[in-house]
Amino acid sequence: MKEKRGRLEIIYDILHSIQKKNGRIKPTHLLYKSNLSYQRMNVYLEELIKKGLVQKDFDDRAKFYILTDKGYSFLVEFKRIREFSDSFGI
Amino acid sequence: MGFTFGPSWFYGIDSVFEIVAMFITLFIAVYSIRIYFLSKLKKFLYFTLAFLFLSASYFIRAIADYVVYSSLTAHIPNLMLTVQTIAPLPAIYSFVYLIYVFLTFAGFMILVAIFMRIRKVQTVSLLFALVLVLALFSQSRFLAFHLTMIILLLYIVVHLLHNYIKKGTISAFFVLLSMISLLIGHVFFYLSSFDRLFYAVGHVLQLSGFLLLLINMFLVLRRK
Repeated sequence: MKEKRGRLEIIYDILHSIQKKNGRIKPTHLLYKSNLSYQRMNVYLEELIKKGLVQKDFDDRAKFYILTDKGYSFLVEFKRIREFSDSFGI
Repeated sequence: MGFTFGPSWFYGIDSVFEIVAMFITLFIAVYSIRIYFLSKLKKFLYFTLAFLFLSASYFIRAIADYVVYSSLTAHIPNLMLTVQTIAPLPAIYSFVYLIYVFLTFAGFMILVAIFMRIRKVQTVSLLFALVLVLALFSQSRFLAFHLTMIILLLYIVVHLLHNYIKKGTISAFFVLLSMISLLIGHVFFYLSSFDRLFYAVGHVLQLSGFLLLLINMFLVLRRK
């Protein structure tokens, strides 16, 4: 059985999902990709917006979430953290 | 606690090696605390604590080695030629070496607890107390210390070997190699009561172990 994702992994999955869609994603796609409930996804997104990792954007038809430069930097940092953690097996 | 003398040409070099180990372990502790602030995962806090203990232990050991050599060679000019391999120490130095032993055990015990996923603080403190009592009250503290370190490092190496088999990454390989190097280093420290040269070999292996950890850190930080 796969281990339960931690807070950091969930944040990574959200940001990585946005990155994979060229840094701009619709909420419905994000909901599907991040594998979270609607309520939990919103809690995480509010936090990410507050920390400046993600921005809300609107066009004529829909709402989008955009990955900021800080968000891109976090993704790089997360990969380092994972490599560090994996190298020691912790 | 007895003091192990290395070969005369190694005088002072051991302190330099220990200072290098101090900086590398401090560097790992600083990186780990950054991860803790970012992730709020307690394992990184304990990991920081382990490396801080190790950093403090190498700092104390480096100073003690330097002071002991300086003061003893000042009083006995031909010390390097005359003394036996392990010599008794004045009380103050014995006390400093006990602090070194305490900090080293604390650091490696926390690492063992993290690697073996021992979550109960009571269990870790009990193991730590047992290890400390065995090492401090045995007939030969010097040999007991290195023998205990060999056992602790064996458990760490087994964990890291499993981790390397599972992950198969270069950084996991470097961490495994570094701990094997530390393990063999302590085997040589253990044997240094029979031959002074083994003391120098132990130090070289210990330094190699920490340099491998530093290489691993560069591999991690280089990642984009």
